[in-house]
Amino acid sequence: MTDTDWLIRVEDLHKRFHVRREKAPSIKRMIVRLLRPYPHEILWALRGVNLTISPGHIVGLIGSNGSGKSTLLRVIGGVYVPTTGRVSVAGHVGVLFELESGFHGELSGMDNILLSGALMGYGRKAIQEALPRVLEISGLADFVNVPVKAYSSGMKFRLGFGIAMAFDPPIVLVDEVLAAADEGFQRSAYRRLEQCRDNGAAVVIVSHEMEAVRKHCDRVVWLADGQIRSEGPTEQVLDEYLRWVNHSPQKPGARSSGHS
Amino acid sequence: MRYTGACRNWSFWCDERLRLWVDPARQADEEYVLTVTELGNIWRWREAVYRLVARNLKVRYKNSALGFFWSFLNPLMQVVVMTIAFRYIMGLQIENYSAQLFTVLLPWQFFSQAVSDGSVAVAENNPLLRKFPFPRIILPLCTLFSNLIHLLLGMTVLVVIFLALPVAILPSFAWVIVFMAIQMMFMMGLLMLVAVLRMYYDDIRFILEALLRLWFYLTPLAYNIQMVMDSERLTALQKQLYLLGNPMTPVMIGYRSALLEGGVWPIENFWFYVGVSAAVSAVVLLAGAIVWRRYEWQLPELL
Repeated sequence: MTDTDWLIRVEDLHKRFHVRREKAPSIKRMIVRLLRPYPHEILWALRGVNLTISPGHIVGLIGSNGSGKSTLLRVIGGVYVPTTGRVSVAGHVGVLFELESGFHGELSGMDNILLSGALMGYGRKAIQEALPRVLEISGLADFVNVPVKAYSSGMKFRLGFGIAMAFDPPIVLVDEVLAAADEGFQRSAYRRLEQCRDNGAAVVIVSHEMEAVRKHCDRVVWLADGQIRSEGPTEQVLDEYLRWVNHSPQKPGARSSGHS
Repeated sequence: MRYTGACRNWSFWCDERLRLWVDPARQADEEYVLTVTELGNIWRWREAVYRLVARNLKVRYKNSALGFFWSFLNPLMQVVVMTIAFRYIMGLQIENYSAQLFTVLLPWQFFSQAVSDGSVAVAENNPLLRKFPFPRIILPLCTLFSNLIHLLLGMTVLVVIFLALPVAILPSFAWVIVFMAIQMMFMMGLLMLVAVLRMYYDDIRFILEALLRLWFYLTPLAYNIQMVMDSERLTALQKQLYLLGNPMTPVMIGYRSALLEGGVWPIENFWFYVGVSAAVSAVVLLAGAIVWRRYEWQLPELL
């Protein structure tokens, strides 16, 4: 698929978020702030991540809540920009996060497919060519002219999955979403991801379902506190992780934060 | 060619031949300037622009063929109401008052609708921002374009109405393009500013709504510019401020004269004021672009 020996390369990636204490402050607040800047929290979601993912792998990304898994996936997917460090991807990225969102309810399934494809960066011809595959994968051919607001959440999920997979992206990022699908679709979804891998794609899956990770992933990366704690063959890292989970007391909100 | 900043990796997105990869590494906190490259990027993303504009219009016209005419009903009613109120009740002495109103109400609606759309455009599209790495500038651009198409449809209807009214179709109509260009420059700058401000301050919508209402009466729409210039209560300085301080004033005077008076400009030094208006618009556009570049890739994090 490409000449490179890697598809995703992450070098010394740091990502910082400014967390405002109040959601949506008002103009009054702004005036107060101009006089005396109120402190906001700085959250380092990722702190020096180095990662290389080669073609033909399904990589599981595990770790407790707030360890930075989703942030890492979104930086690779290009919707978040690194604070420092570099992220390189060698091709189109198919994203499987927030599958049910991003559709406009008033528009038909077809219009939504065309819009999503265009926003992924494909031209008209490529989208037209991928159209039959979207319908085939999602199995929604009969509903494609119905407004999306009439879809069930399962149907929206299928639509999102179909759009992401129809273009045969060399890189696929999956965030937790497969757990929401029904058993049958889940199975065929995993089968498709494995097919992608066999065709030389790199697939990254964020999941809390250890059984699914064990079954489908070739390698596992364990993130903790925005850093890679461990990385290697599935069984080895999973054992380490489960040992850690069993032996350490649960610390909710294990994110590190400081004041600016 | 050197790409810097977050836009650097767009180069390979659409071009299958480049799939074998030009270093698409990206780094934040690095300065990058508006270049031809980036305008080229927008061209490369034309399909996305097209689909987003189509979506905006479909939603606005509710997917129905008559949708446009329903949305045209609003300015039509406004003209009727204002004609009754100002002409027949308050006795304003303006010839052809309804036609005069129509010529400026459509461009004004273009302006106010686009700016208030802009305050929610980015926030509403947050799910898209969180999913797809398209160039962010597309969002305000599409707000501008879909409202422009709405204006052009309205203008077409206007010309049809002109054929029915005792108004001639004049070559001076061509000037409209100049005024539209200035107006759009100004609007694009405002759109970018407003869209970023909205991420920080929810209240901006309400403030904007109130401001636009005030702005409506500070611009010669319901009355015409001669009434301001002939006024004995206003000092010369106030009149100058009125003309210079509001980039929309010369533009609206221009629309009206070009469409109804055959390009006989009703004030002295008209083109000087248009020039000032264009300069102010360019400054606003530049300011908008600077603010936008600073924040565009943080938009989904800000909500």
